[in-house]
Amino acid sequence: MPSTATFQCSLVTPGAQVLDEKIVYASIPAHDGQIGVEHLCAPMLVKLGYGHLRLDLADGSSESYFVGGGFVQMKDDVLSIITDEACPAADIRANEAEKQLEDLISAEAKTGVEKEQHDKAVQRARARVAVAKGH
Amino acid sequence: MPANVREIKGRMKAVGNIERITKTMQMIATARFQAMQRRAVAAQAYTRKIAEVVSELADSVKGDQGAASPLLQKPENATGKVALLVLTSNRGLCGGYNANIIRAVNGFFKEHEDVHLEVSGKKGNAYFKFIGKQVDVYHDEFDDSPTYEEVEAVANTYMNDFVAGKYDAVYVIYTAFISMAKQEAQALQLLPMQPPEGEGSGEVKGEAMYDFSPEPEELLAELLPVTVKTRLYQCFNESLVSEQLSRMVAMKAATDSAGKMKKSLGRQYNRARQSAITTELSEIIGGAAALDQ
Repeated sequence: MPSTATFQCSLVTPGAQVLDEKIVYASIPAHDGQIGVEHLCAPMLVKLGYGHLRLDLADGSSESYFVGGGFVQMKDDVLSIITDEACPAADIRANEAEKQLEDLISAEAKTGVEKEQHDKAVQRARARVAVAKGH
Repeated sequence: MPANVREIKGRMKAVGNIERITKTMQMIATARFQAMQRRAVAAQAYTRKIAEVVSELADSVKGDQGAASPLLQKPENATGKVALLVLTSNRGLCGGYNANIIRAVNGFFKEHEDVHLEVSGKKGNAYFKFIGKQVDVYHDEFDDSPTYEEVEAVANTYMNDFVAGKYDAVYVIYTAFISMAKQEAQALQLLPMQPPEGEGSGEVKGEAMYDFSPEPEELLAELLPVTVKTRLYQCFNESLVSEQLSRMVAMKAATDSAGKMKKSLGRQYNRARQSAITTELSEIIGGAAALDQ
């Protein structure tokens, strides 16, 4: 049976503190796969990947975001999600995200650095499409 | 109406117009200051969290592994060249804001000979053009509210150039917002970074036995560039808050001065008007007396 005990969660981006609330569960896109965080989870410091962040709030509702890299810290039963980008999943339009992905795939990168950045951008766009479709 | 009285009346009107303009500018600066401060406070949460995580990692990364990052060390083949980014305003009428920055830049030039100069803000660019100092890069992309992405691009360029050994150090001269009463032009060493300090004595505390993914060294290497970016972003934010505050104070002083001047001109006007009336009356009385005789 899932735990109903709550813990504090804050979601911050360079521009704003997006969320600072009590939650019961967080599903986080870590750099190596999705991880789940509940009340009294062990302290951890994890690199974020691109993908779908789901936060189950104490009032029973859920919030979904697309997050674009960053870090996650769990300490003293406080979850901090520090990310470059947190966009509500409902705000992402699947057709626009798909077009962006197609444009990126068709664009060519020349130098090594450009290729690396291009690969990251494609990975990010793919994750955005997946979040938009999954929502 | 005698010429003197007319002249004073004209000046009163001009001063009244100036007062209205400066008062409006003061109100605009106040609104902008509040908006900038809100933005800076919102960005602080991110900066604080990043600093906290770096500090936690510094505790966990032992020995020289943490100091191995190229962002923490001076390049091996020192060229003696440093990069300097000067943050000035795009608009004037902000009191001593730009003058303080320029004073700090002149002090910096005395300490460093070979400087790659980059300027943000029209006022700084105009000053260096005026004194005949070459500006290597002029950043005209920053408006009143630079985004994190814009600042990130500049920070990435500095980090790449620094790691490539182009510069021995990268500095930023900006106005630090210390309090409502104190803002100070400061030179911040952006690169090489000061090695991150742990919260405690370097011992890993019981409650902070983290599960790291990836390894702490790798995490720290990922976090250091983010720290550079957030520091630079904070410099921009603090500069903007300080600029609006300086403008607010300057415009308030101008409005108060205009008010005082208007009052003083009002007295002068009344005196001149009274004296004109007295002269006219004495002329009439004198004329009437002459007719009686």
